Amino acid sequence: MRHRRLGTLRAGARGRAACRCREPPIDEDAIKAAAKRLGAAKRPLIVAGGGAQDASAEVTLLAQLLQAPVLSYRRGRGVIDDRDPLSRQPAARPRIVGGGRRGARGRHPPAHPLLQWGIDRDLAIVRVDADPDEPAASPSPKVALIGDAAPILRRLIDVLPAHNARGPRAADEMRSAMRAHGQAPGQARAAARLSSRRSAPNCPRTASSSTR
Amino acid sequence: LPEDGIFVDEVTQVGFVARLAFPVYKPRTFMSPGYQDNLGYGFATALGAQDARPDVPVLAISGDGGFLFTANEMATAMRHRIPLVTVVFNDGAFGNVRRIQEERYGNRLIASDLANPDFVAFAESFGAAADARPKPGRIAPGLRGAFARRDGPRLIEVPVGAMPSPWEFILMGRVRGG
Repeated sequence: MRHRRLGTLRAGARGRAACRCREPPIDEDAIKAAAKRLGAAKRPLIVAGGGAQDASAEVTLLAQLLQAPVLSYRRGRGVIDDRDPLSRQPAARPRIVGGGRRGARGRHPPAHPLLQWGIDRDLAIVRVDADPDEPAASPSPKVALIGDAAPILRRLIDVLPAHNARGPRAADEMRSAMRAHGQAPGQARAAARLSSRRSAPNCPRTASSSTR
Repeated sequence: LPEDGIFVDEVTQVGFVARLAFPVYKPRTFMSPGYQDNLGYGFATALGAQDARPDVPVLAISGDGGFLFTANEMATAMRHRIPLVTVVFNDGAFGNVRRIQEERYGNRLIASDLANPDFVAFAESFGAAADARPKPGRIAPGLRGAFARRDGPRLIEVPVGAMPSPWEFILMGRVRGG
């Protein structure tokens, strides 16, 4: 266990190339159930926590497929590029809170939203957690996926188009549009990173001259 | 702070606002504690982040109370020449607690005021670089200059007064389930 954890830490600091961690098998039934829920959701919302830090490209592309805002706070900041129009922080709540069925996901989602917004029958929660005990300790999810966020979301992105009410070819169309136009930096970068990650499971940082 | 620079927040007013308002462009460039919101974690955490990522600048922000939790680690920063830039917002108090005591407990203040050192003299006593009370317009240029220097830690003390509460933007209203 100690060596596995050290590998994870090194992967986080230097990129994932050095990580030889064994990924748990993906629950295909849960993936399909999640895809159905999300594909039929009226107003899906993605809540990204710290566990999604290595799944930035996947979260961003999923958000595009669902046209879902991504809420991040504290440890989830940076999962989605704030220049992406789908990026939201809790302070933007008047624009994203309302009625209708939604899905939420992300490991270690910020506790504030669910505790403070409340839960009712119209809210369906899809969780992705590394810790198998986490779903039982949280408001009852309709679907619970256990494992690393990145491979789970990659599988979900593969399965989602068949169930996505926004169009079964949305994934291909979105990738094509991002490649063709590139006018949305966050989206184009997400597609490029996802593409490179499929061939090699590392996602090195790139230098940039932008400042804040 | 460059796009791939790392920001480390703290349990302090500017940190609370940063969680909502600071623009973040890449994963693992915004470090923040979990739900427990442990006061005092920031400076030491930022030293670790800067030592792990010497290729990018790291900025730590602290209140005066939070900084003092691990201020002695300035010795570590000097010993290993860790080029962390730290901004200490000095209001002479555990400001958030003090405001709560004022607003919710009839201004009955207890254990929320601080007896601070001279932070600039404190940093310089270790041999670290320090900026004393820059004017607001000089903070950003000072930070850019500090990020360019990679030869050791730097502390910037920013005196502040009581700040307005950010919590109305953080604590969200109930919209479901009655």
